[in-house]
Amino acid sequence: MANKPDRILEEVGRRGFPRLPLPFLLVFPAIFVLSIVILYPLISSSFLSLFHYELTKPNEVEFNFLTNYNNMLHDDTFWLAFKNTLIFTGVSVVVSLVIGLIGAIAIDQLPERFAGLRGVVLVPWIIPGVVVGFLFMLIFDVEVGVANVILKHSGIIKEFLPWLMDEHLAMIAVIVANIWNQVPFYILMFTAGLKAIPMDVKEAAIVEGASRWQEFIHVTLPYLRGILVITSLLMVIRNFNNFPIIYTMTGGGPVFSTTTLVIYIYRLAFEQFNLGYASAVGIVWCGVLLMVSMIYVKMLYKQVHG
Amino acid sequence: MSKKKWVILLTMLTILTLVLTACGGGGSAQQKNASGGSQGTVEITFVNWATAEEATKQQMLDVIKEFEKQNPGIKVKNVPIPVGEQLNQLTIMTTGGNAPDIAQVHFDVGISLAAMGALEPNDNLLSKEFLDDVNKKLYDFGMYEGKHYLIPWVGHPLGFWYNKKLLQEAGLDPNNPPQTMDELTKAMEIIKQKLPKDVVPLQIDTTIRTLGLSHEWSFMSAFGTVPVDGDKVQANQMGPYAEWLRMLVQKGYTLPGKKFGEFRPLAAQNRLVFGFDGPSFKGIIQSFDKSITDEKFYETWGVTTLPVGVDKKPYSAPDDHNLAIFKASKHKEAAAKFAEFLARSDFSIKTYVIPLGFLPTVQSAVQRFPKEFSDPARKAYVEKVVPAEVRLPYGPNYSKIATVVMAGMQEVITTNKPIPEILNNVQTKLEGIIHGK
Amino acid sequence: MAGVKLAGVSKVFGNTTAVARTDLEIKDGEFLVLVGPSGCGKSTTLRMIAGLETPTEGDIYIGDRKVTNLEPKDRDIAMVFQNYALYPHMKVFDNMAFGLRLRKVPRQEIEARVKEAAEILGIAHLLDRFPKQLSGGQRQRVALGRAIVRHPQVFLMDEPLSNLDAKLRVQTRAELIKLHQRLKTTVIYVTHDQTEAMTMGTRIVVMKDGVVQQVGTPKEIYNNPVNIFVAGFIGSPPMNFIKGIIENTNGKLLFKAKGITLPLPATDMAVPSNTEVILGIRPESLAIVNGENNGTQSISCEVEVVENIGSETIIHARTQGKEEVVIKASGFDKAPQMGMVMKVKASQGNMHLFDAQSGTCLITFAILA
Repeated sequence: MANKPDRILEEVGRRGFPRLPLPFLLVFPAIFVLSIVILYPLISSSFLSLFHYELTKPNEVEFNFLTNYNNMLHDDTFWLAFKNTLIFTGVSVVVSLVIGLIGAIAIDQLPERFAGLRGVVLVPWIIPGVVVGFLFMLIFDVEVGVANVILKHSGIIKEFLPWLMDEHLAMIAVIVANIWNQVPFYILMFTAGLKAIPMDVKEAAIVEGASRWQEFIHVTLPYLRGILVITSLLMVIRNFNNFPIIYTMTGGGPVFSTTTLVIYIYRLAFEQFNLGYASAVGIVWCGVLLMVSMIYVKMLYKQVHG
Repeated sequence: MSKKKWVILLTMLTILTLVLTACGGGGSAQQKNASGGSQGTVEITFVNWATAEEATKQQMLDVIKEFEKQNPGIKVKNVPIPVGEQLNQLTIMTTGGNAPDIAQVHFDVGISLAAMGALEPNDNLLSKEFLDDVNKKLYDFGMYEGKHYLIPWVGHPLGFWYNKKLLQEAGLDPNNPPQTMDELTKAMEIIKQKLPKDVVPLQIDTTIRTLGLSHEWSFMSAFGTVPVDGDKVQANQMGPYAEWLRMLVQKGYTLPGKKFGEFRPLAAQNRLVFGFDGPSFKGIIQSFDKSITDEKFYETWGVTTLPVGVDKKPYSAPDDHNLAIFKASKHKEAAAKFAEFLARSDFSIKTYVIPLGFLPTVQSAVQRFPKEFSDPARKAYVEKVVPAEVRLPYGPNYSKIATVVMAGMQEVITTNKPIPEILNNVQTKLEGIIHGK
Repeated sequence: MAGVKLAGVSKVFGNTTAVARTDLEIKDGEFLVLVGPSGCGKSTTLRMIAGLETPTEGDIYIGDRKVTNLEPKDRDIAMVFQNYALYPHMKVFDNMAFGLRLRKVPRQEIEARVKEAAEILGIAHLLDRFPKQLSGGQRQRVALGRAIVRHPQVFLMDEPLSNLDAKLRVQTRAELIKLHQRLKTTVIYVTHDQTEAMTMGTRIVVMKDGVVQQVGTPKEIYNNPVNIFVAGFIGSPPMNFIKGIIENTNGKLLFKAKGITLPLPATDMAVPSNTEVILGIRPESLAIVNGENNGTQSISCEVEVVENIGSETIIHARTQGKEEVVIKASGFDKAPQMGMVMKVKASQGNMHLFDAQSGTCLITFAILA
């Protein structure tokens, strides 16, 4: 069925003067721009990744094939950054997902006159990452931070904690900030998803004997499954790239405990000027991201056509 | 898509790319012509943080204006950048073919740029009278591979500031600050017991920055071992310092993870006892709280050299500001003239250097401005702190060394890992940087 | 299996009364149709019985159990929705088995019951498909099957045929009747289509604006509508209404309107003279009078539109009082031409007199041919 319009267009292309079909011409500007801003840097950095190239040592530039990649295998900071990226992304996505789902269900059940609240919930989402970072840097400050004050007053901690200066707490702090920033997005997506569930299907389940929970598991959740998968993948990609919150809050520290791959690449390239090695790490990071993106695109396609 | 279409696509891409790059190239060429075509006057680009900071901006602009007045043939294009971005920005500007003519740099950044090949040696650019007058020690700090690349502009070595009022409140002698590291530790213990909880005993920078390393370097020296000494890597022998640093944080003698600048507001609120900061400390504190007059300031603060350690020698790290002339500059003579004006002219010393609390880098300044040099703090700096300045391992690897060492120091204060383990790890990495690839 | 009883049930949403105090008794095994225009409260009534809405007041009983405050799942009812409400992510078999699984019915029994229901509905070959792979009619059967497998005490159906095309609707209607005869389970069926109501219901409840207008067998409702609304709602084409007055001469009633003088059969009812009334006659009760028969009982009118349906002819005409009259005549050989003036008379069935103000039926006469 889908073949028909294509065939017609091809016919037109065969007869008309410009032999390129119209869809191709329309897509061309986008492809062109993308190839300049994405393809070129990608090719150029894969090329760079095969060199020993430090800006501070312009006389020592040399082709060293896969040495950068080999060094990466033995670079414990790289592996730590890799692990941190997975922890940061994984925990952020899973926790935001659960909070977002609960939030969406709560908002979905709000009476109409509280509809304005939906807008308010979105506020954290529109705040730029750098601002969020600064906000939470202050919140988690060891001296004046609100987090310490609240936790101490509620008896959860006895002494003020150096949140951003403790290898474990710092990761928790950046994840909390990140979750705060992105939960609204999940709420938005899930609210849209919930709205799309036909009321009578839920009611059918209720009449058939499902408890609210069983209804949620057997009807609401399956309906949300598509949105759940796509939103998660989208956020995995986004969090893989999350730079501003971490960089403003901790700069990747203390030591390297909140250094994710993007932060590591930034430090390698713009603090140590080790462009060759930074490119190599960037290519690996890009590869991982590409795999996630491919799953995303596949899922999206399935969602639309399946 | 068919093969043919691909071919067409690629052709179109190539053509468009060529067209676009051609346009871009044409544009920049035009720009160059325009800037070179200005007859009679030359324009020099000056990258600095002096005009990026509120405390120094107006004075700097005044100096630039005066220079342009005295040298009608030279115009100065001012480019402010944040102090923390200097290496970053200057490297990018240089590699991007957009290097300035002259820039304000710290020693580490200057030497890194020199190692990169971005700077012009200045031995032959500067006048003989300037070379005769400049502080030889500071001038030689700016050497790389036998050539001078940096022009000392203002002295800003780190000195040991002590809060006399708080010392007195803690029952310590306000006029007799700790002379040794042991005394310092003991004093901090007493301060922690006697003074309110929000008083911070010591200013020490524990961030992973090159500035962090230069701040801690003097403390490391006092404890007997610096991580790198020439070609010698000896981080694994820094145990005593690391133990002391861990103790500082555990006992709450300092705030971990703070830049040293972040302690200055505490000092203005009278909540810091011992500072390790440059001579501009006074001016900055006064800028936080305008009610603090000179008199009031000196009632509270005294300055001397850092307490001594094992070798009984005081240390200070150079946080001095230098000027660097870029190899790509087309107007190196003009830039050198500007540099000499900034560092040596009466106007600059009177308007910029002295009012902001910096130290002049030319020897004649003391004779020219005897009154200003009677200021107690400046006197202490000139007589005690400047002689204690040491050169850090500046060079192409400096920022890597700083990252590794400071990451190790952060590990010391944020984890409970055994110190030898941390130091051995630092040692291995430093050896990798310095000895191998 | 059980009957259903509504005792003084009402439902108020905010300021709107969706259902006014209603008493209704539905007998065991009955096929009761709730019919009325949209917004009449029929669906709300059904949803209250299902437990999807809680009554504002009153009680609901299923069998002898009071279920007013019970959850839907505890009421032992099954519901069929207008849009089928199938679970899109489950295959047909799982759709039908869902309720049984929730009730922890043994696996073998589930299989047997689903198979049985599928056989009855002729969808046994579709059990492995997903709802989106089915046609509208097939989905409807699955929705029915999902209700049947539960063996509930009451089936509740909310306009289950309205999404089917006309032909399929007629066909399924017949199948539903057969199904009811076979299962003998109580059915409460909501529709806005009076044809469905008439053809399917054991009894019909006509509702308007949240108020029950009349309850009765299709025959009762058709022959003896209690008010002008019921009279007009039931029957197709709808009943003709002619405004006029009554002349009472010693108990002999005469209906008068412009160009019409109609003697009415004798009655016990005392209707005073000059009472404003509305005369109701069904189109099928009227017949065209041949030229020679020119009695006083005939009504003269002008033909406007003639619709030939084949087996019958619908004639739209206008009286001298400019009121529209629709006549349903069998065959179309004798059909009049447009613009023709013809005479019609009441020839069979009933005639109704409604109070012009309240709309209630004053008298129903049998027409004496």
